[in-house]
Amino acid sequence: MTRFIRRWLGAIWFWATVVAVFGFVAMLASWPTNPESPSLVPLHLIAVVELVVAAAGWFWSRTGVRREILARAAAVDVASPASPPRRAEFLLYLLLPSKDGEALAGDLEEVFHRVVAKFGRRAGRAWYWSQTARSIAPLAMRWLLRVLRWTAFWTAVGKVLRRLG
Amino acid sequence: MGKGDNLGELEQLLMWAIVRLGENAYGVTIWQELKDRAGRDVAMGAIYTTLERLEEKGFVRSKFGDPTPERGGRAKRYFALAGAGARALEKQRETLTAMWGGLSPARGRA
Repeated sequence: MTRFIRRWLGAIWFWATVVAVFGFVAMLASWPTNPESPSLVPLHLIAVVELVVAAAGWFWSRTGVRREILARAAAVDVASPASPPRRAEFLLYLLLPSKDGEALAGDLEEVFHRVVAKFGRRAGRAWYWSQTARSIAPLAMRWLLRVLRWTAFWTAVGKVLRRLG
Repeated sequence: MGKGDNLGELEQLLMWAIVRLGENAYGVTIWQELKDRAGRDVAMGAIYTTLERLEEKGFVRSKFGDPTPERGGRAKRYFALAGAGARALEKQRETLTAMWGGLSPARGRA
């Protein structure tokens, strides 16, 4: 949320300033040649409005309002509990029987919260993904062995039944 | 001890970690123990697959604890060394001690 607000405020502030500077330069450049020209009036007006917007933005950024809004958004961010990446969790559930998957996901979530508390959400998610990525190969091998074992078992049962029948 | 009862390096380390941790041996503590004592950063998934293999061999047994909120309401899976596991570890230690007897790794034969 904080990132979202900061990004949008930053973008509005940046473009308002850029447009204002360009408008102001254009106004100054055209002023000496023909200040009374009706075609230039809208340009002057736009430049003045943009300067006012940019000045308001600057004034607003100097007051405590901006800081207060960002602080409030940050507080909301901190208050909402961080959760591990759901896609990574889903991958683990795909490869493990449900109860084992629960235990492994629980272990990963426990360490995930420690990493988040120490290094922040992004680091926590990166850690969770790295653990998942490194776990996939051994888990997939285990899953494949289990499937092969059951396939061999049912093939043997089928053979026995055919002989009996 | 049959050929299938031989212990790999990670298997041995996991079993030693379980012995060290006693009743508090579950995924996170085992992972931490391996990291702190053996300097091995093993993926949690690899730890689980190895422990499952050890359980199938009868060296380790496991039970589920109560769900806790810091784990998203999921239960811990506690591991303990089974009798066969303790015997296999002891045998492994004896084998290593016998092989080490009278040797110095830096200079060869002592």
